[in-house]
Amino acid sequence: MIWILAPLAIWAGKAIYDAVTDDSEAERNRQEQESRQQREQQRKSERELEQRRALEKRAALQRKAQQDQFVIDAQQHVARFYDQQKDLLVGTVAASAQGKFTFPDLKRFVLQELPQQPQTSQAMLDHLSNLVPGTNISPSQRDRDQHIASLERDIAALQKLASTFTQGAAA
Amino acid sequence: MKTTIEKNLLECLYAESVEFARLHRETLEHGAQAVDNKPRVIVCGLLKAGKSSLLNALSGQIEPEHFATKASRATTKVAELTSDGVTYVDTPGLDATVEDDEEAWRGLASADQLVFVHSLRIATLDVKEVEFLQQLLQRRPDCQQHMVVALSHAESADDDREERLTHLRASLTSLLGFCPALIPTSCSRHRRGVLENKPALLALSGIAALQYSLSLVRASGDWRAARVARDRRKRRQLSQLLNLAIVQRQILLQGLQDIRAQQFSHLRDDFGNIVRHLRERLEQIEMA
Repeated sequence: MIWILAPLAIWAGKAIYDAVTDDSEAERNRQEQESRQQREQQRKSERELEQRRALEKRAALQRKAQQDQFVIDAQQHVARFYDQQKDLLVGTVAASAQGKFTFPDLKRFVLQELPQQPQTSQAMLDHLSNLVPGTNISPSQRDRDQHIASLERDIAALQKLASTFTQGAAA
Repeated sequence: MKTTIEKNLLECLYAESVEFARLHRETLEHGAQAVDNKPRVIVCGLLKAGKSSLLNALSGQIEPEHFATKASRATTKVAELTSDGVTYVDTPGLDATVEDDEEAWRGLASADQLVFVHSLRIATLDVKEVEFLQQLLQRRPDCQQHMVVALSHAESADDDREERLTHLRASLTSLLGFCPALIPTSCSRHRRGVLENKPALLALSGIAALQYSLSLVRASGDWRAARVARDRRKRRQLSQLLNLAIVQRQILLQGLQDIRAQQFSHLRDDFGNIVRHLRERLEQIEMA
């Protein structure tokens, strides 16, 4: 009897043991798979983040390059502008325009408008000095302005003098 | 009280126009003379024509003389003497120096009565006298009413006086377009007449005739109206010269203003172009 029951018991025991062992294996496998998936997901996110960062960096570099190019071009334009106006304006402008203008300076420059009908060189100068410090009226223009002012004064004084003689002649 | 600007301006006008300088000075002098309200008898003529002697005779200043006569060029500045309500004015000789001539013209500008002295000894107008009389017509267009010709040294032309007078009348008429009263005078006879109390010499001297001729004009009072008219004419001329100076300056001013306006226009255009260009570039950068 014992000979019959003993193998049965062993078999049964083994069967039970196998059954329990199978279940934990499956669970382990499942957990491993989940863990692997998570790692893969994380790696993917990290790769995407890196790509995004790289794109942003490239875009920033491109923008910087464009701004730098704009500044160089704009400086040349402003320098040429002051060169064309040298009969009217002189000073440290040329030096400023060559290398000292920053991007914000130039934005300020383009946002400004010149007065439509400036009456005097001083009005123009005040405006441009605000845009480009170091701007000055040229000596020839300053002489011309002084000559104009002196002629205007003389004409007024002559008209006053002439009127006294006209009145005297008519009296 | 003139401002510095007015003073500088007047200096400038004086330098620009001799005519303005002369008229302006004369007008200022007229203002001073208008106050005393006495007729001014101005004597002019060549050097040594006998101007100062004649004035001494007219003003009764025989001994001592008021107007110097001895030196070769005794009168270099306008000299005045007021006697019996009349201001007698001596002027430098016309043929001495340019400065003397200018001084003479200064004196002549204020003449209410003008006595042109010419020596009857010569009786032919000198080139300088001709030039002077031609200028006189321009500067004093009213001279016909106020001019007398005193012919000095008459004592030296007793023989052919009429002939000489006729010649001078013709010359003056041809030159001036009219013939002023010609009065022969002799200051030496007048002097002797006064000092030696000889009425016949005084009568022969012609000084009384000249005084009478001058007094007729003074008595009429026309000289006052003429003085006012002369001053008005000068003021009109000054006004015209000033208007001319104003126009000249206005033309100059317009030229300078045009240049400046053109420069401002270029400045605005160039500025507009550069600003437009840079704005477009900025927009492109900001949209990128």
